[in-house]
Amino acid sequence: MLLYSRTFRRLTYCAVVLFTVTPCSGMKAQQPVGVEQTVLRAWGDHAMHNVMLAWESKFRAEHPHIRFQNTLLGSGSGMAGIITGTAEFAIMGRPASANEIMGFEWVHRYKPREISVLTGSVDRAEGSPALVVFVHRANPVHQLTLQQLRRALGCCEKSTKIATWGGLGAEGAWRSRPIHAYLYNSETGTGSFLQKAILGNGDKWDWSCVHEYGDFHSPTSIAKMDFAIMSAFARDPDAIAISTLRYAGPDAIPVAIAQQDEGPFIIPNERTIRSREYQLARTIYIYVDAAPTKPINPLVREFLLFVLHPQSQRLADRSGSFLALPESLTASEARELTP
Amino acid sequence: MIRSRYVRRQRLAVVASALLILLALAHSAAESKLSLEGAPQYAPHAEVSGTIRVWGHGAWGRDFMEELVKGWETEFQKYQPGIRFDNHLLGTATAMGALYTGTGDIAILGREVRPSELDAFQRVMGHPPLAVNLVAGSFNVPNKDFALGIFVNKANPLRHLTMQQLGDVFGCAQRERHEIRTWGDLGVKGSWASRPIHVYGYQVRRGFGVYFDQVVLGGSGQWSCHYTEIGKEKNPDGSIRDDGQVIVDTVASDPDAIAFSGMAFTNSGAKVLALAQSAAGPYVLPTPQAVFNRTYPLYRVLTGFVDLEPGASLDPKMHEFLLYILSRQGQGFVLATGGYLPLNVRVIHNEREKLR
Repeated sequence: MLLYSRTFRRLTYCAVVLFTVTPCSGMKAQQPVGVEQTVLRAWGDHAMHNVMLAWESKFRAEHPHIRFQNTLLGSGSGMAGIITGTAEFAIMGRPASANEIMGFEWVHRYKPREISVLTGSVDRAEGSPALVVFVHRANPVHQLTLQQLRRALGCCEKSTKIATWGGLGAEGAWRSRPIHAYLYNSETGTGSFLQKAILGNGDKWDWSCVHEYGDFHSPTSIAKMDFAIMSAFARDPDAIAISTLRYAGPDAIPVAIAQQDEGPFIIPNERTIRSREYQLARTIYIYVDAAPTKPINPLVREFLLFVLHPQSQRLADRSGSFLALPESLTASEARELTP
Repeated sequence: MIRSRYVRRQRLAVVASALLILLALAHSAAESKLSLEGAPQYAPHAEVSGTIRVWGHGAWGRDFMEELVKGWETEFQKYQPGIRFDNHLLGTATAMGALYTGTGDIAILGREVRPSELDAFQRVMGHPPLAVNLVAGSFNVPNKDFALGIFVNKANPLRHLTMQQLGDVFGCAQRERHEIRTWGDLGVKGSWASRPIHVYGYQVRRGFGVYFDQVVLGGSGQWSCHYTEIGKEKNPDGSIRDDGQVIVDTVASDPDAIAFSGMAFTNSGAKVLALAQSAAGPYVLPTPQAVFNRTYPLYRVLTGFVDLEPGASLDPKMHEFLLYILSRQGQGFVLATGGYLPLNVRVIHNEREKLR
């Protein structure tokens, strides 16, 4: 891992040295003017490594003069390339954060362009897996709306707060039992996606009933978090756990999720994650620098259209980690790219 | 003869009192003056040349620290004429990324660094960045990383809190924390004891909120459900009222309020509390001296990050520039420029140790 990063760091330095136009005030390390662009540089999600190699290999079959430089060392460093002008693509396994978008905007004076390119994996720890809400087998509640989750797990007015399973529809002995939740640390990409999906903007988890787990610095962080979450869940009969489908089992029942009170309530499985009916499926994004007042870099656009093409989508799907986007979504993203 | 002796004694008394008053004034002036005595002088270790690319804290059309940084650069170039600077003070959010993409040589942050930024650097470079305090936040100057105060209504009998109590008020009542709901829970007696505490402050995602979380909530991010975030507001005439001002105004109008806000904001209906690390004290009020000395805990620091491979030496031109900043000259320039506060001498020595 160390060697890998040093190698790519040297390559990146070479690219910067070869292609940087020394700025007085601007900072864009663009290809020299008048020379046809031949290098496409990507930073971002290390889990997309195999997919990017497969795509690049296919793209180069049609464009043999193009070279790719990948510095895929995590979504956390993904946006830095397009912010500083040292990359064309930011491959992100989670949406860019408000801080990252602000960083880009303060340099370029417009927001980065976001393109959805794949659906996150069904249950692979590092592949932006869909998030699944678990309850114990004995728990009578097997379906929830996102609103109910927010009222149970978020801070809210006393009148709307749900503190017991009765508030989520349980009858009998379960009515007065308290709700406890175990989930991902919101400093992580997975955790911040979860926070946004359930709490929306600005709301806070209710720490009197929510416990978060996260080991920020470990390379196997998602798997470690999952283990900690599911261990705590196993010890606590009143618990909700939020983890991935990998941990479904006899006593860990995935909850069907709905957006509206009246449903439909969708069980997470490969079909519903792939179709995006399931609300807590994830998305892989590519961000690019595309000024709203100018045409997008033609080579960048060409690669993005290539990525959204059904053949490329199938190619990525076969890699095993990620899922092709629904055709309606690739079509609408492609339309956005076409002037 | 007796009369002239009396007059002479009187004159002596007047002169003596005048001297005493002058001495007292000089003494208090010396105390309130921020002293850099004992700070090392900058003398170049080596002659360096090249370009130093500076990324960090800044924004279009607003001077956060651009004037200070440019001033440092000009002064430094008097000692090291072979050095050029290339500034990109376009925002703290851009800074760390510039460092690990090889686009910048120093990242100057206008707020405390986030774990995600350190993690990203570590994953790319294989080691953590070197962090060096460069300058201290101001006491109460707008846009210059002012210190934070804990405000209560003027009528509130409470005078001080420990950091633990602060955490209990602003953080969530979990198993480890005491439930703090009334002023009596903070030791206030009499009619105030049963009154409920209303907790206010900056939005948690703003730099002030992130800082407060780090210092008061141990970085847990676990704010109390009773914490009310306050954002900027529009005045009737359309102008914007800074969130820091809205917060202190809220405290002035709500007798049960407690809030954190910037020392840059005042309202005659609110007062600040003294803070202590523990119940043993001492309880320290926010003053320029206490912020400078770091005896008052809610001070800010602006940190510069550079890349230093383990076992290797710092790039000589970066070494010289940092030695200049951490010197009598560099910090004296901060004092002369106004706004930010210089680092105190103890901190200067500590930070210089990192450069060995």
